[in-house]
Amino acid sequence: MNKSLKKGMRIILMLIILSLISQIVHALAMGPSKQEFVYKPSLKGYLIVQNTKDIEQRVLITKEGELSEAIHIDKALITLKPHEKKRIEYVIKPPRNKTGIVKSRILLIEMTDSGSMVNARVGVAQQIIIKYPYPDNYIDGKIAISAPSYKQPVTFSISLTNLGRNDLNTSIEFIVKGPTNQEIYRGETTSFVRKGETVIASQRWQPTNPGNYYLEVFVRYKGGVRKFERTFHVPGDELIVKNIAIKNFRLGGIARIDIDVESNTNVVLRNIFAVINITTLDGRTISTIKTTPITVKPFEKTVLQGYWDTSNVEQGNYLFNVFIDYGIDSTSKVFKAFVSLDKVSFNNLPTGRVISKSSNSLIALLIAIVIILIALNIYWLIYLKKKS
Amino acid sequence: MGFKKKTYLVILLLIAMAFFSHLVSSDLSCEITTTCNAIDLLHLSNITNAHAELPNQTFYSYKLCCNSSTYINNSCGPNSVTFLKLWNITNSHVEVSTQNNYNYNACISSDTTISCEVLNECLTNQTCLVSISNTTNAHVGNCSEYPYKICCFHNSPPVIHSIEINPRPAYTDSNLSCTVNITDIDNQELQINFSWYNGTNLYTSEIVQSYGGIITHNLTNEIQQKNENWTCKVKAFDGYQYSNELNTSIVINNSKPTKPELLTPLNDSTITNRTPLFSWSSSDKDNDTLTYEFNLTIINNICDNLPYYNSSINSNSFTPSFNLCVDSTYEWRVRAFDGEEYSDWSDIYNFTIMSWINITIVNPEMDFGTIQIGSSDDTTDNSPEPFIIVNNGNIEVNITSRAESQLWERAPLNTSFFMYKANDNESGSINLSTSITQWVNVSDTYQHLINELDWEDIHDTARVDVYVESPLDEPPGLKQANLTFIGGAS
Repeated sequence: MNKSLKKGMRIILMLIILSLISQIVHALAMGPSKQEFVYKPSLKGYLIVQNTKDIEQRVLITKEGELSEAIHIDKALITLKPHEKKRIEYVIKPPRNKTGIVKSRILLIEMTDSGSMVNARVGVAQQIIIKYPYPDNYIDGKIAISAPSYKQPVTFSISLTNLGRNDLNTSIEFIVKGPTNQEIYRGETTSFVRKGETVIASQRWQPTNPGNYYLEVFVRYKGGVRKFERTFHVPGDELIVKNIAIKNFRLGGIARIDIDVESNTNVVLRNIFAVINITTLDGRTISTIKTTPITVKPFEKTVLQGYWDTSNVEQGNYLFNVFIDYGIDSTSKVFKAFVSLDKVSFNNLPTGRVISKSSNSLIALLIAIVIILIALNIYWLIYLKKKS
Repeated sequence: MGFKKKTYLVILLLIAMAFFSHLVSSDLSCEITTTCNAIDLLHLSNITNAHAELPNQTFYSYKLCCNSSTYINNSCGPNSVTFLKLWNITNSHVEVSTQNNYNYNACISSDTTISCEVLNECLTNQTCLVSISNTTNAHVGNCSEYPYKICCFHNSPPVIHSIEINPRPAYTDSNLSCTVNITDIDNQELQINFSWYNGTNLYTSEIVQSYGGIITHNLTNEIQQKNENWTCKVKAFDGYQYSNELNTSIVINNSKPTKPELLTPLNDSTITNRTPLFSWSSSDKDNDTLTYEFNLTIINNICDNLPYYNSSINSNSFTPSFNLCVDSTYEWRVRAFDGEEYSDWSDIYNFTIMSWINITIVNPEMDFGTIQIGSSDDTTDNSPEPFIIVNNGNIEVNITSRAESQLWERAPLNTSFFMYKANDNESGSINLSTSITQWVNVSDTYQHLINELDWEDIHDTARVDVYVESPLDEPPGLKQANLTFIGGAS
C-alpha cells in the first residue's frame, strides 16, 4: 500500500470518528438569557441562537407562558449550518390590564432523529419579562458590593426600580452587622425614583478589619418597605505572622520552633499550619518543617509549633521562610537567624517596605526654606546696620 | 525722564560698541616714502632696485612706512613676524624669511597676530609691503616692481557668539544638534571643532569647515539616554588663531510612556466571557519598565466589585479574578506609568457581556436493550449510561424537562413506569435541595428537574438517571420516547 493511500485512509477514518463524536452529543446555545421590558403596547426583542456542533442543525422555535400568544416570531423552524449564529427578532403585543411581573419563554429545541429507546433532545429558553405597573407604589431593587480590602472603603450599591404608578421619594438605610449579628454600621441616604425608572444609590463604609459581614438594606417609600440583604466578605491580612522563637536549643538535637501568629479577622480559620523552609543565605534548602495544624479563633493570638531535626545542621546564618496558606489567602515572612551551639538568634527581616516618594523632595524643600530664611535674616541685619 | 532716556542711550551705545568692537578690522597700510610719520619697518636705498638696511640704521632715506589702527612695531621678538632677511644691517641684499642664508631679520610685530607670506599677488585682505627680485640675494622695490611680493595682514581670530543645543527639552529619541553663530572678519575658511560629551566622557569630535555664520552639527541620532548630561563644546581655528570656546549642556528628559492602545475586548463588542482578557499596548522610548493603571466601570447598572481600579498591573494584559455581570455594558481604560510619569489615559472602550446559555447533552441516546414483561431497569449503575448535561454557558441555568410521547403503550406518562431524577455529576454542580433528586414520573408538561446548574468549568455537569419498568400487559415491540431538556436562566 503506497503512502498517499495510507494517508487518505487515515483522513477518512478520522473524519468518520469526528462524525461519530459530533453525533453523540446534542447541543445548542442562545443568548441573551432574558429580555426585560417595561410594559408598552408594542415591544421588540431579539435572541441569538448558535449551532455549536459540527453538523447542520434544525431548530424548532416555540413559546410558552402567559404571553405566548402575544409573541410574534416569523419562523417556527430554522436551519443552522455548523457553528452558525442567527439573530432572531420578534415583536410582542402584550395584553393590557395586567399588573406586576409577567413572564413567558421562547423555546428553541434541537430537532433530532433518534432511534434508541429513550432519547434526549436539547433546548434553550429565553425568558421574557414584562413589568407592568403595580396597582400601588412598589419599588424593586438589587444590591451589589465592592469590598476590595479592609484597607479601602466598602461600597454598597443598590439599584432601585419604581414599578408602581407614582414617582416616589425613597429613604435607603444600610446596616452592616458582624458575624454575631452585632450592628457595626448604619448609614442612610435618599433617592427620588420616577415611575418606570431605575436609579442607583450608594453608600461607603470603612471596615476596620477583614472578615465576614452581613448587609441589610431597608428601602422605605410611601406605602411600603422593602428589605434586601446579603452576606459579604472583606479580604486582606487575615492572619499575621508576628514572631519566631526557638527555646532550649542544642545543635544536633530536635528543636521546637514557635511561630506567634495573630488573627485579624472575625472568621474562624481552620486547619492552619505553617511551612517553614530553612535555607542557607545563598538559597540552599536544608530543612522544610510543617507545624501542627490548629484552629485560630477570631482575633486570637496563638502559637504554631513545629519540630526541627538539627542533627546535620552546622553553625552559621540561615533564613527561615515562614509561609501560611489559610485558605482565603496566604501570608509569609522571612526571618534571618544565626544558629550557634546552644542558641538560635533571630533577626526579623522586613519582607517589603514602602519608601515614600515625597520624603526626598520634602527634605529638599525644607533645606531651601532654611537657606532663604538665613539669607533674609542676613539681608535684614545689613539693612538695619546701615540704617542705624 | 530726559536724563533717563539719555542714560539708556549711552548704555545701549556702550553695549553696541562692546559687541561690535571685535568686528572692526585692524587695517595695515604701507608705502615707501622719505618722510615716515608711522612705523618704518625697513630702509631702502631707492624706491626700486634698492638695497636695504634695518630700520635702526640711518644711511638710507627711503623708508618702508606702515600704519595700522592697532599697535605695530618693527622690533623682533616673540610676537613678531620676520618678513625679510638681510645679508647685513645696511647696504644689503635680501631674501624671503623662509630662506636661511642671511642672519638679519626685518620684523613686524603687533598686539594682534600679523602674518606675512610671499606671493606673486597679495590677497585682498593683505597689504603688500615691498617686492623683491628673487627669493634670495634680491633687490628691493616698491610693490609693482618685482614678482615676489611680501604680503602681510593683521589676523583677527574667529569669534563664536552663541551656542545652543536643540531641541530643548530633549528626549531619548530627539535628534540633538549643536548650533553656533561664528564670525571671522578676515573671512577665512574656518575649521570648527564640535565636541560632544556624555557627562565628562568625550563621545565624538568632528571638524566642520566653513566660512562662519550659523553652523549646525548633528549628534548621532538617538544615541542619548534618559538623565544623561550631554555637552557640546565648540572652538574654531582660522589657520592662524583659535576662537573663544563655548559650550552648552542639556540633560535628557524622561519620555513619558505612549498612550496605551486598547486591544481586547474590542470597542463596542459583545462577548460572553465573564472574565475577559483585557489587553493593550504601550511603549516607552526610554525602555523603562512600565506598570499600568486599569479602570473598569459598569454603565447604568450595578455589579459586585465594580467600579474596579487596579494601579499595579505589571504586564500589558489583565484578567479579573472575579466574574463580571452579564447583560451589562462596561467601560474601561488604561494608563501607563514609567516610574516617573504617567502616560495619557487611553481612549475609553466599551463592551457588553451577554448572558449565554449553552447546553450540551452527552450520550443523548439511551438503549436499555430487551426488557422483560414486568421487569425494570435504570441508569444508576451506568448501564446504560445516564444523560450527562453540561452547562457551557456563562450563567447558572435551570433545566426543565418533559417527554414528547409516552414510552409504553399500556402505561401513560405521569406514571411510575417511566421516571427520572437528577444529580451532580461533579460535586457542587447543581442545587441538590431544590433539584429533583428522587425518582419522579416523567410528565408530558415541562417540570423543573435541575435547579442552578453551575457554569464554571470545575462543576458544570449534571446527570439525569432514567428508570423504565415494563407494564405487565405491554405488547412486545420497539419502544421509544423522546425527552426534551430545556436550559433557561435560573
